[in-house]
Amino acid sequence: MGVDEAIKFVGQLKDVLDEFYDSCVRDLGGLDRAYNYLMRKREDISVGRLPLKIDVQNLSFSLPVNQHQHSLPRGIKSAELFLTVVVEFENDHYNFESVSRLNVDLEVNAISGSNRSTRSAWHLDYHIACGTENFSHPMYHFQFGGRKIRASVSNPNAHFDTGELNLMESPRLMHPPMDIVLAIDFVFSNYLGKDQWKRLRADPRFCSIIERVQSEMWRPYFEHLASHYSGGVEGEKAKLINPNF
Amino acid sequence: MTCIKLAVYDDEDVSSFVAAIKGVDISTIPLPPESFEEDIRKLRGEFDAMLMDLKLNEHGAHVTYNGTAIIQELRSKMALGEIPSVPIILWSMAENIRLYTKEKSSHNLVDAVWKKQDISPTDIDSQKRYGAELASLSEGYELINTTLNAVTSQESDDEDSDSAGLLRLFGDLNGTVPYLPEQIKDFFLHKNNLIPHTIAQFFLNSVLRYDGILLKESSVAARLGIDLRRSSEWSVVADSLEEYCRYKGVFSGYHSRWWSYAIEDWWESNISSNHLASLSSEERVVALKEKFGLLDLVEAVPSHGHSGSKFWFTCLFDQVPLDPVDAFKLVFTEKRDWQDNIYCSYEAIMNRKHKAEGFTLAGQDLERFLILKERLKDGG
Repeated sequence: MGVDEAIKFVGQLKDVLDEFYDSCVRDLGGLDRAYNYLMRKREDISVGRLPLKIDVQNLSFSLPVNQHQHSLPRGIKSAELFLTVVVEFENDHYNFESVSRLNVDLEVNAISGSNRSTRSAWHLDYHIACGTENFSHPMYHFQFGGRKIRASVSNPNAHFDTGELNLMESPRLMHPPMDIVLAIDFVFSNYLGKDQWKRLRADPRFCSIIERVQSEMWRPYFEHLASHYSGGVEGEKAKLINPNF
Repeated sequence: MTCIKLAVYDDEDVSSFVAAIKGVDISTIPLPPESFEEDIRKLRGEFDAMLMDLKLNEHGAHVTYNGTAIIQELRSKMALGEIPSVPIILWSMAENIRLYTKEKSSHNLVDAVWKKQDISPTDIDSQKRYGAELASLSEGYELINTTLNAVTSQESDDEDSDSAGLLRLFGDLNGTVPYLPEQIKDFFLHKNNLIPHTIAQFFLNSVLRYDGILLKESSVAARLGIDLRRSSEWSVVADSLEEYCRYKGVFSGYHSRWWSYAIEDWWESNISSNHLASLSSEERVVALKEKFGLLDLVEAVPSHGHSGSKFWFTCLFDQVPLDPVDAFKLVFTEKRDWQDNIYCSYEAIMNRKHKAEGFTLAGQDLERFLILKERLKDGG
């Protein structure tokens, strides 16, 4: 998939999500900016002067708190989710093999029953292990906490009390890569509830986009993993994806 | 700047008010209301701008119509080309304006709404601001009229070339045409929109009024993490952005704006490949100080009731910088595609500034505000 198709799907994604403004979507400005960036740099990207990059900052969603009542501290009254996805490719090929940078940050700010302000953050990272790391680093891995929460520890304005909760950089959980489309699907399916996710998946535009993106980003990922068992040259990447093989 | 021939349509003697508009040469032609037909006939004269009162029968004139009726008639005639298209400024006492703002259908008729009480007889800066706005409106209309005439006189059926001609109204950016989203360009493709005051309204209300494709100065500072009031070296940064990011299109003399995407591009090309939104104000300012060798750039800090420092928006009422993470979102039903959502600060809501301007908090943000208010009241 090249830059023109990427531009098309980002634009369509915006149209699809616009229809959720009445329910769970709060701010899509970051997606607009990412789209405008691609439109402006289209020429530069297609001739290789600039890498293909989709940088979506701070999309925000309102969570259905009545569906998240099994959480601590008890009794969520309101919760917002902020999603930032940055994906960069070595050239203008939107494909698993060309990824040079990928970060997904998911931050939830919630207010508990006792009016306490609470936070959680997940961070999906792309990392090619160089062998000196102390702990396992799958090529694509999730970490709980991540930079956002750690940053608030050093922010003099915020007193971040972890209470009895322990926040470590481990474990790093293996997870398929996520670009903006896959991250949005992830947010809908994990945070916004069955009805909203069904509604999203009922949109033929979204289905067509996600199928395309999964074919570019997930198919190679899973094929590398599968090749661990089928042997061959491709098998080497499998260990980078899953160090526990 | 040539002298502005200003028609003043008012039932009371407002020469002292008009005299308080400074910084621009005005030649006033007072036109007290007499009768609908007679007033329209007089207002068809050669004016550069019109100052219209809302209530026309408070000081003895026996007329049954109000200012908006006259304005509607004038705009129809302007649309048909029967009279020259010029800016119309509505002005009245504050109480009358409150009634006007409830009447949404009249919103697109005038280019500015001035409250008579706000024109100070002594504050020169305020007087100059009114003068600057008047001058900008007059120049802007002249530019729109000239550009529109140049484009339509080419007698081509090619809507694309008409539209491209009109896009010149956005000015240029660093020697090239600025990037415009499709939805903005679409406006100029509709022949019904190619009327001077419709174009003027589009710029004033849909492009310049709210942040989005263009940003106000306080928003530029917020995105760069700079405390505008405490940074004496802001001007060094602003100068550097002038050529690369400054809006120089129609009405830019009065409305200082910057192209939002150009700020991000400038940051990426000159400072860091890390997106501005992902950095705290402190990180942004450290990078800027290093780049420019500055000492007196102060980072913006969260205002009362807020703790996030990755500023992106500014409060619609206070202009204080806001981090999306704890900003309060307002309902914005007329939002256009190229505009940002609108947000406000905790303090602004506490002081009911949003209510005074007819805004309400969106969904869960209201809930969040109420909880925060409780918590801060309890000293939490």
